[in-house]
Amino acid sequence: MDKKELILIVDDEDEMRSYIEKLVTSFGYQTSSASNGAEALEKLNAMNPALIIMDLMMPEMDGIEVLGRIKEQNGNTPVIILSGHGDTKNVVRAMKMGASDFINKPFEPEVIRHTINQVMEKKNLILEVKRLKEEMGKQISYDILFSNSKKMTDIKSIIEQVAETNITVLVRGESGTGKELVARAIHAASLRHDKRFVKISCVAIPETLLETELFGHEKGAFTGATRKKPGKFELANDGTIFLDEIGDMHPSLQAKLLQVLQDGEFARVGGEKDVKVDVRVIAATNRDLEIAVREGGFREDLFYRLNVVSIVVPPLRERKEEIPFLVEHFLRKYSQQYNKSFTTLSNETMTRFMNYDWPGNVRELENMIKRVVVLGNENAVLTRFAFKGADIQSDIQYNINEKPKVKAADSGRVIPPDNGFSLRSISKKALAEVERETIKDILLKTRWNRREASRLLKVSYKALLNKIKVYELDKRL
Amino acid sequence: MFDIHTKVLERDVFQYFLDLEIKKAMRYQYFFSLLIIEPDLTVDSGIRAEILKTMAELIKEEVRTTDVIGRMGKNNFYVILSHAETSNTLSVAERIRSRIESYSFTRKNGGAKETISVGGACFPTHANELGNLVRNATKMIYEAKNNGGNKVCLPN
Repeated sequence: MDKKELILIVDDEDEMRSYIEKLVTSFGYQTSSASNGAEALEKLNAMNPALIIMDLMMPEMDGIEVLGRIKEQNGNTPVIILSGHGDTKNVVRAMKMGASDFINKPFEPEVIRHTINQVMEKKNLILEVKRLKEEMGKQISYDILFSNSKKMTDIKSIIEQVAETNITVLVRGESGTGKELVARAIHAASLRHDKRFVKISCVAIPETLLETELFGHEKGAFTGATRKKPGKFELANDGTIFLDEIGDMHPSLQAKLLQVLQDGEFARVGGEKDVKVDVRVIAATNRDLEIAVREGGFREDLFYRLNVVSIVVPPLRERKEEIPFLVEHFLRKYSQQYNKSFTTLSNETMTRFMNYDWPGNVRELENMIKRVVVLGNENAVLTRFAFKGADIQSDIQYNINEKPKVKAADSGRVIPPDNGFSLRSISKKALAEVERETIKDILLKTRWNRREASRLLKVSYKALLNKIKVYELDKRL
Repeated sequence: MFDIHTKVLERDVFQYFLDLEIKKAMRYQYFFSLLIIEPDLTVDSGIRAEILKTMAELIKEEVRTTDVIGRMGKNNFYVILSHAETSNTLSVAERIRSRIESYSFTRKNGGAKETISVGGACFPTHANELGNLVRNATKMIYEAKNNGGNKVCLPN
C-alpha cells in the first residue's frame, strides 16, 4: 500500500491544525490543511485527498454541513470527525451522514494513528471490492464474445490497442454479429468508461429529424421547434457516441458529421453559435461503404475520416467454434431470467446448430435459445430446423423487409442464391413474389377496389384482404 | 417529504427528483438547470430559521410551478429549472436575487435587508452528469461568495 497518500485536515484552530498535521506527517502521510469549510471543499475538488480529518465545530459552515457537501461531491472520500465538546448528538448525526469514524478531543497520538489506519484499510477494501465487481461485470458481458475463437480474440486485442486513444473506430459486420457490443467494449476499456455512452441509430429516425437528434436545434428553428433542444452530441460530451447504421445517413448530414469529427464543433439547427464538444465517435454499419462511396451515396472524405481503424466482426458461420460457448451462455442467461432449469442441449440439436449457417448471426442464435428456454423444450426449435431448414433465413429476410436475395423479378429468371437455399424455399419465394406483384397490379387497375379485385383474381374477398396484409401492400405504394 | 421549517422538499426527495430530471433530460433531450441558492447570512441561528422560511416563499414565487425546490443543507436551497438553458437560467436567478435583495424582512427590531448568492450550472451545456453538474454549481456558488456575495454566477 502506498503510504504517501494525502490527508486533508480541516480545523479552524491554527494550533490544533498544525499539531494534527505534524502527527499525521510523522505517520508517513502527506498532509494539506484548510481552516474553514469552503476552503476544505475547494481542496477536496482540487487535490482529491484519500481521507479527511475534520473538526465538527467551526464558524460559518459547521462540520455537519461541510460533511454533507463532501458526501455530495465525492461520496467515496472517508471523513473522520473531531469533536471536542462531548457533543454526542452531533457526532451521531455525523456518523449517520456517512462519517467513517470520530475522535474525541483531547486525544492520544496513538488513537489518531489507529483510527486513520482502520479507516484507510476499510476504504481500500471497498475500492478493491468495487474494482473486482466491475471487472467481473465486464468479463461476463464481453469475455463470452471475445474469448472463444481466434477471430474474436484478434478483435479483442485491436480493441485494447485503440480503446485508450480517441481514435474514431468504424465497426463493420453483418447484422446481429455484435457490432454494438464491440462499441461498448471499446467504451468500457477507454479512459471515458465512467462517462456517457450514447447510442443513436441513423436508420431508425427520419432524415430530417436525425439532424436535430444529433445536433439539437434552437427555439423557432422550424415550425414546431417550440423549445431549444440539445443534440446527442452535446449529451455525449466527454463520452462516446455510437452511430449505428451510419451507411444509411443522408449525404447532407454526412457533411455536418464530418465537420464535428474534424473540429469538434457544430451548430445547432437554426443556431449561429458553434457548440464545442469532446466526443469519441464509434460508427457501425452492415453496408459495404466502399461500394456506397463509389455509387455516391456516401461521402468519400467522411469514409476516410471514419475508417481510421476499422474492426470487422465476422459472421457467426465463420466462427462456428464459438457456438457451444454462446449456447451455454444464453442458456444460463435465459434460464435465470425466466426461472427455468434448462441447462444443456441434446447432441442432436447441437449438431444441427453447428451445421446451420446462422444468417441472423448471434442475435438469431440468442433468440433461438430464448425460445428453447421459454418453451422448455428443444423439439419446438428442432422440428423447425428439420423440416424447414434454411427456410428460416428467407423468413427472416422477408420479415425485416430487406430486399429478398432471390428474385423472380422482371427477367422471369430465378437467380440461385449463393449460400445454400433449398429448392423448396426458392420456389416458395418466387411464388410469393409473383403473387404479390399480380395482386398489386390488379389493385392498381381497380384503384384499390378490393371487392372488384377479388372477383378478377377469383379468390374470396377475405382471402384477398389476408394476402394484402401478408404482403404488406399499401395504397400509397 | 417536506422540510418542516421551509416547506420545500427534503434533501433525499430532492435528490431523487434531480436524478430523475437528468434521466428525463437525457432521454427526451431537453435542457435544464440546477441553481444553488445560499443566503449571505450574518445573523444568529435564532432568526435564521424565520428568514430562510421567507426566502423559500420568495423563491417559490419567482420560479414556475413545475420547478423543483429543495433544502439540501442547513443554509441552502437547490432549485431545478426544467427546460431552462443558460440565458433564461441567468435571468431567473437574477430575478430571485433582486427580489430577495429588495424585500424587507421583518424582525423583532424592525425591517432588515438580506441578500443571497446563487451558483448555477446547465445540463448539458456545463455538465451532462449528476456529479459534475452539482460540482459545477457548487464551484459557482463559491465564486459568487468569494466575490462578496449578492451575486449570480454561472460557468462561462
